[in-house]
Amino acid sequence: MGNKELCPPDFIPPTRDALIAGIWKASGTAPTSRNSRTITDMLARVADAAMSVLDPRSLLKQTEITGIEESVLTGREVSIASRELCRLMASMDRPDSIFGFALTLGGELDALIVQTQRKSLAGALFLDAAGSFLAEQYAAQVEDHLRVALALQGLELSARFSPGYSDWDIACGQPELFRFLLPQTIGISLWPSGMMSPFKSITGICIAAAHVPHRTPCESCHKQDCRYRRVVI
Amino acid sequence: MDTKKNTADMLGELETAVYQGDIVNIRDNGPCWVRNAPVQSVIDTLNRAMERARDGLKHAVLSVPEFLLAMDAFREGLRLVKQPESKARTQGRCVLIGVVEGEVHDLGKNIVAAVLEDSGFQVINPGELTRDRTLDAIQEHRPCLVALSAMMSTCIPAMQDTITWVRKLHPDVRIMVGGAALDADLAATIGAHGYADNAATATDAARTLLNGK
Repeated sequence: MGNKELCPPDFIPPTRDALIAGIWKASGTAPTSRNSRTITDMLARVADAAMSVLDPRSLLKQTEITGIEESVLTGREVSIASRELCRLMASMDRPDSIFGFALTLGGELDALIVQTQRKSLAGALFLDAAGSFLAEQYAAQVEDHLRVALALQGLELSARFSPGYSDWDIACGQPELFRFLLPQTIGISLWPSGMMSPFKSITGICIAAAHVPHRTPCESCHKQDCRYRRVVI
Repeated sequence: MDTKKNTADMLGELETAVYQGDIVNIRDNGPCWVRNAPVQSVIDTLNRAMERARDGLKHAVLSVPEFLLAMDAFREGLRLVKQPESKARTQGRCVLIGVVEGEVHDLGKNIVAAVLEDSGFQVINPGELTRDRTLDAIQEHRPCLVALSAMMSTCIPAMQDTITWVRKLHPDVRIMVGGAALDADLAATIGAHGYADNAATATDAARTLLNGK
């Protein structure tokens, strides 16, 4: 087995209510009894506006694992420098493949956020939160799709892991992942800072193995107060 | 609309609508509320509403989105009396704010800029602040405070470089940092005088830094 391009799943949009709940969550606030009609109306408008400009695209690529050292995981076309990930892999039974993915919601949402800032910062904040929630939903769908497909082959899957999280340095990790995945083919470009354009884009990897007892490097990461820490799934 | 309501009552409704961020209500009923009120009374009412909103934000009665809605409503209220924002606000101490070199995501910074402006600071917001652009802007605008934002950890070296030079050439200028890439410890490590965790705490952090200046 070498490198293999796979067919990613189509994005399944959430219901409007689920999206509104997601906007609340991603904006770091919660609905209260005093939330006015204005805020409720705005959330509904934002949810509709965000959905109307989405142009979701993704790609998925598999590569065979060729080596696991103390702090570097290597595949045929990619290497990942993360001691925490390698530690996680040491607990896995027969690690098999690295699955890389890239996805984006498209550039129109970015443009809409910028445009909305001029009229309403609250609207822009909610739109940005909508984008964050939708991109995470999409990534979860890609991960679930892979998990189901691999289960049919008797394999298990780790949780997704992206450059910039835990000890995977974004400055090196993101360009390395771009060389492997070529997300430019779905319209994602990389800034020198490691930020992607469109903003609402995600890249990452998952590991397939015969058995995955611990699914995320967060479980052993020393950054206990990290705001992005994942609870054990 | 109850025609018997007096002007004070109607301005009270305007104040409540601004505090609640009820733009639709202001659009629909605002012209009637302010019809017989002097322009200055309307401006005072709008400022009073924002004072309440600021207080609400500070004491976590209002969330940041609710506060931003109140700001949107404040602007809508100013349109009723055809006044620019600059006329309605006191122009206090000057803050230069921007994202550091390499950053492209500036929504958070713009929200902090709006909150600071609403709190009475004169805010200069040129966008991306490279080291040289920061130093030039300090020469031009003479701010008391420079506020720098970074979302990506890869931009921290550029932020540190800017801070080093600002401290060297303008020792009187305070520097406050914020953004997803930072915490209070890292802010101190790279030489910032202060750190703001979010838009709700930015005003207090700025005032604390400028205390006595």
